[in-house]
Amino acid sequence: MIFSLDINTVWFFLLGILLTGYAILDGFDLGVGALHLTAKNDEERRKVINSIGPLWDGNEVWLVTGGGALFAAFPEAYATAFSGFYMALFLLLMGLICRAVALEFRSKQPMKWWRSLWDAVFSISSIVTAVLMGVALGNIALGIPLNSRHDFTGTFFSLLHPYALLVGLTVLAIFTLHGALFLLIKNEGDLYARLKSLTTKLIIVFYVMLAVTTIATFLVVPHVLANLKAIPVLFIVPAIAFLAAGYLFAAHKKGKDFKAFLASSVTIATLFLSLGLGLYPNLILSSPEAANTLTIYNASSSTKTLWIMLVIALIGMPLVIGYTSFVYRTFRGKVKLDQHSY
Amino acid sequence: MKSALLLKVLILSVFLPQIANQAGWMSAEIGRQPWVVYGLLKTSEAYSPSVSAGEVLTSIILFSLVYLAMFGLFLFILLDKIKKGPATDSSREEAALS
Repeated sequence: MIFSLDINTVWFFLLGILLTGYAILDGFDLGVGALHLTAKNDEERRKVINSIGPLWDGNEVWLVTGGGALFAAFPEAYATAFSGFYMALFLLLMGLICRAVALEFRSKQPMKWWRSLWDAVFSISSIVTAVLMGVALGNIALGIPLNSRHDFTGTFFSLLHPYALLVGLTVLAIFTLHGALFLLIKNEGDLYARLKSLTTKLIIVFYVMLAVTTIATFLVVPHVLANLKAIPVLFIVPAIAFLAAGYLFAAHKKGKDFKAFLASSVTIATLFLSLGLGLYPNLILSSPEAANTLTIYNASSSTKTLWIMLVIALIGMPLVIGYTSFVYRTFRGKVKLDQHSY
Repeated sequence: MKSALLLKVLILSVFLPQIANQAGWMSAEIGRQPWVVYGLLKTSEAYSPSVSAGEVLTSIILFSLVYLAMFGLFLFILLDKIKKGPATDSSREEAALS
């Protein structure tokens, strides 16, 4: 049996839920950032920003809890990832900082140069952040060189493997599409009409990227498919991802924006779950020396810690899900600008 | 509430919490040395072998630059807000319309 039911496995999938939640939620606001410069005038750009205005910082909490959960549940994997990806994570943090600063400062001054500057910072940092996240995912699938103490022995540049870069661009493509679908829910008028035809193109770009990445995954990282091949019924998960991606186009064509957005959320979640099922029970694959791989067993905290954390998570998660739904319900509907807007 | 003394104390209260925060943080970090976890783990045993000194220096320099730039921005916005003064009812309406 490949999958065993123990507390380490529970935490592996809980971590997956946190990171999937992050990808779905911050995914659309990074995508909105990537699309920001397609909005033509100041009013449109304010509408774009205010579409995610009350939501983006809450979305980023999921990344913080994901990092925190990795630290508490699998400290060895946390240490290896955060030391090994030091410069990459530094750049990621810079991207997230610049994005937040641009959002907050942009509308605080009326000068044209001021707003154009922050518009550019917002868009570029969103794109860089999305690509870096994909590059990190690509490296997780590829495996990274670890020594017998599980220390990373590569360099920043060895992380820029062509497969990792391909996954980086694919993540950018899906986040941009996801963001466009979100903007359609939140906007109307000219902006809506323009985004609508742009979205059709983004769907095609995403299909191409998804196809190329799928083929590359079979060719370059067949080891992440081993679990699925051993239990073929698990192929249902990537199959759902492809079905949802297909349905997305139909829903978009019929003008069902919310259903299209749900479809891209399902696509992201099932692609993530496919990777998780493929990696299990490994957290950080060591390549070329497979013996140094960090798994959910050799990287974990004590069983007692994991159980205590589970209790905390079972109390905390409903609270987070509760306030997240509350905020989304409060700010539902089309964006209207007022004096409290960005 | 128009006492001149109170208003002067309030000006200082912009900086005092900052100083308290930074000083508290520094006493904890510096006072604990050479331990990173007091009595359990020395700093010299806890650093990441896979992160080079050059990478650490690069990140410290770049973080400092970003924080300096943000401090500059903060001052710019803050001074601008002070110069314009608190919003009156009519200027709030203007802001809502613009």
